Amino acid sequence: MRIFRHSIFSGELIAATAALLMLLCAPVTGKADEAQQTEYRIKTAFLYNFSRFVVWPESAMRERSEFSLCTLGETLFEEQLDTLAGKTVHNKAIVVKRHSQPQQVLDCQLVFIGEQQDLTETLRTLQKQPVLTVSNIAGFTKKGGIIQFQLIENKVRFRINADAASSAGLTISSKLLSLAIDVTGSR
Amino acid sequence: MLTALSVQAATLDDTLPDDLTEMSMEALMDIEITSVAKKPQKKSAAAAAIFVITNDDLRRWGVTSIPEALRRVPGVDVAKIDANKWAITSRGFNSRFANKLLVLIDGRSVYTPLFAGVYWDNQDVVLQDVERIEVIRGPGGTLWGANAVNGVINIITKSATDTQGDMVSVTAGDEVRGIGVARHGGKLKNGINYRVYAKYSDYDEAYSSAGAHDDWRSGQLGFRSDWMQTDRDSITLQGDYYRGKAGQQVSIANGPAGPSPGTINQVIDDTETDGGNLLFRWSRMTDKSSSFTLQIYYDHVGLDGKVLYEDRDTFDMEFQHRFQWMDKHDVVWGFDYRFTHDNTDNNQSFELDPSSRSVNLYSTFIQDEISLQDNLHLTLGTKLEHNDFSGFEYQPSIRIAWGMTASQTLWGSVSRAVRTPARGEHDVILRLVPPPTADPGIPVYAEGDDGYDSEVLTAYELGYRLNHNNIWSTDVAVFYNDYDKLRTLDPSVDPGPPATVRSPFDNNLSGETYGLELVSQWQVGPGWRLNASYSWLDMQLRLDSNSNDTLSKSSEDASPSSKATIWSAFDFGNKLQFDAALRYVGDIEIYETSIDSYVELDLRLGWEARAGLEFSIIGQNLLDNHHPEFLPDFINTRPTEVERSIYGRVTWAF
Repeated sequence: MRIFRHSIFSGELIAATAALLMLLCAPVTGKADEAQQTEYRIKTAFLYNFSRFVVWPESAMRERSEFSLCTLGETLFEEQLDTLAGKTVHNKAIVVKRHSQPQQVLDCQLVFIGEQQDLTETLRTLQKQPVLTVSNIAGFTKKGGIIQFQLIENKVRFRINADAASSAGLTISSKLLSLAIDVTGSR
Repeated sequence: MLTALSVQAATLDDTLPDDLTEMSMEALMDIEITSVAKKPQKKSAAAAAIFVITNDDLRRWGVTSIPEALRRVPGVDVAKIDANKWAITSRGFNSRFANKLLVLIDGRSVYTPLFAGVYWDNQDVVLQDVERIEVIRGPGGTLWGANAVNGVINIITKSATDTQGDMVSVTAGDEVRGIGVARHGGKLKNGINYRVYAKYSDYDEAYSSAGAHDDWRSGQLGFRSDWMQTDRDSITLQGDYYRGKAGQQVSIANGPAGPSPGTINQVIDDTETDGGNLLFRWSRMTDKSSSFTLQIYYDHVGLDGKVLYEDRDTFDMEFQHRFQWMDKHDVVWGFDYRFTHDNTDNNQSFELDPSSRSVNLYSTFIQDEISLQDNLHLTLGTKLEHNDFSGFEYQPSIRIAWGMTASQTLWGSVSRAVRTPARGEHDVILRLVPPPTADPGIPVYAEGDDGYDSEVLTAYELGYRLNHNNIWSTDVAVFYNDYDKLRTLDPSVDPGPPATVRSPFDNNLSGETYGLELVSQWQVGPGWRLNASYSWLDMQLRLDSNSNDTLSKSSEDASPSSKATIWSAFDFGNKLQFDAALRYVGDIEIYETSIDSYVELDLRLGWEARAGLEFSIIGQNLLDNHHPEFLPDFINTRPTEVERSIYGRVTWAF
């Protein structure tokens, strides 16, 4: 390969070769972890976009100085989520919080619910509260959650339950609705 | 036949920016998470020679058709016979009627059972809606069945969820007179995503000193709808309808019974085509590790020319079930039933006996992918099928893939594949045009024979893949193919009167092919990618001692012994893109006529004026005014030469 022969003189390639030698010793499982990291980096960016394209009721936002973006229970978000801290949505700085009890998330604007949670109890606690609920859990929107992530052909997509959003007092922008794979309930 | 081997293995992901929050949601939804762990089928797919053409590749290569895109794939020969006819094959045996390559569009076979090849001009897919094209070189008979002998091409279009909004695209130039595409994507209240599209293509004639008359046009309408009402079900309904007219000049021999005996007439033949299809697919995840798919389609092909004529209806039903068993086994099995019925219209050169025939194909397959260790996978499988021409056929394979390290894979396989007889090989009576030295008054026929049997391949493959941090990747495959019972035409003189020469199809050829295919990609920097591919092929065919065939052995020279392509994709910032490709194809010889090797250059300059609006200017085959690539066989259409082509394109998505 002419490309390679030529490029041996570039420092970039020497660095790449060194990196390659290191990689040769890396365990095989590294690949799956890498894919999972990518998945959660994408989901992090989506949580940020959800925050931008959903409008909370004036009453819920007026008194607040910050926008609380929370997780509930065990999730696969690692430090990626913390990259959102300090960004602003609706003129408020994002604060990332990790909670374990449903009661604790009543003060959050957006909550990502982990898979081990008792969904019925969590959703009952959050009923009619201006909290945007997001989860990976299968059937989440059917059970009253607002946005559900779903992997389709290895891409991150989402479903929306518009009824659940309106009973929480949230207005979802038409842009978000148009990108959902499925919107249940009235628009 | 379903998308059991959905693969993305061979391409590098574009490097993601550090801060994904700066990307649009549309772009986020397009990022593919390649995970070896989540989609177990990729492991088995990795034990094969695969090349994937992405939607972005199609755009940046500036191509206007599927055949043009295939030119860059290692191991695949693409040659133009005239403006609307291609000879395309994988790993040798090229011809307009090349019969060892299976081509599927969204799981629908577009390989005609008449002569076991593809009418490439009828596959006028909207390239903007193609998700990817997977090219698998080597036998795929275990999963895809008979005729996936030397390769499988899977053209996969985007889900309607990914083509929301409107798009118009216009391409215009000298050789590509005009291509117009309009597409609308929307969502119904009940959650069904859909798109509808219309496409019209008009191509100029190619070059011939004697006049080409091979300009052609085609119009196509279609739709696709995707419904994911529940988490576990996905339902697709799609369909297309097309009409076209493709010009050519064809030589027809007039025998004693013809209008002027003993002469050869050149006639203008504007072949009219029309066709359509409707496909339904239902996939259900029954639990985390098991799923099934049911697919049903109907397909119509109509072709009305002065020699070739086909009017065919096909119905196909397939079921596939995949499940995990005892942790280590990933099993997929299924069955397929296909019914095809044709009507033909006899003329003085082309006749089928009987003129109308129904053919049934039944098949079943099972494949087990066993995880011997985390990084060692053994795949065993076989297909069993029954067809009306050669009866029962079996196509087993064994594949092994070893993930040596996180970035390297070594794989090997041994498989058996068959190319079952085409309807024509059993039933045709084709009047050939004799060579200029022969007496044109003595008719020469290629004749179908009911004893004509399947061609059989035993293939041995070995491959190595390296993907270093998405900076560079290399994919090498070597193969040794052992063929038996390849097709021959054994002429015998019938003294008459009137005297005739009859050449029934027989299986008197065998031989070996050897090859090496290499493709490499290097991400030089954030906005510059270089690719290179190289293929080498050697074919050694032998006639049986009892055969006096004078034509078939020559197919060993019809594929170039080497071909190479280097291409570059360069971004000037976010708005401007410059793409270049240099292609070399070695010399070939078809029935003792040599065609020289050639080098061609393709260039593209693209400008994204704003999100969704793109202007580009493309030049193809820039180094020559015109050059020949291939010659016809069986049907003497006038070969023409590929000309330099320059065109502009505007695509607006809104």
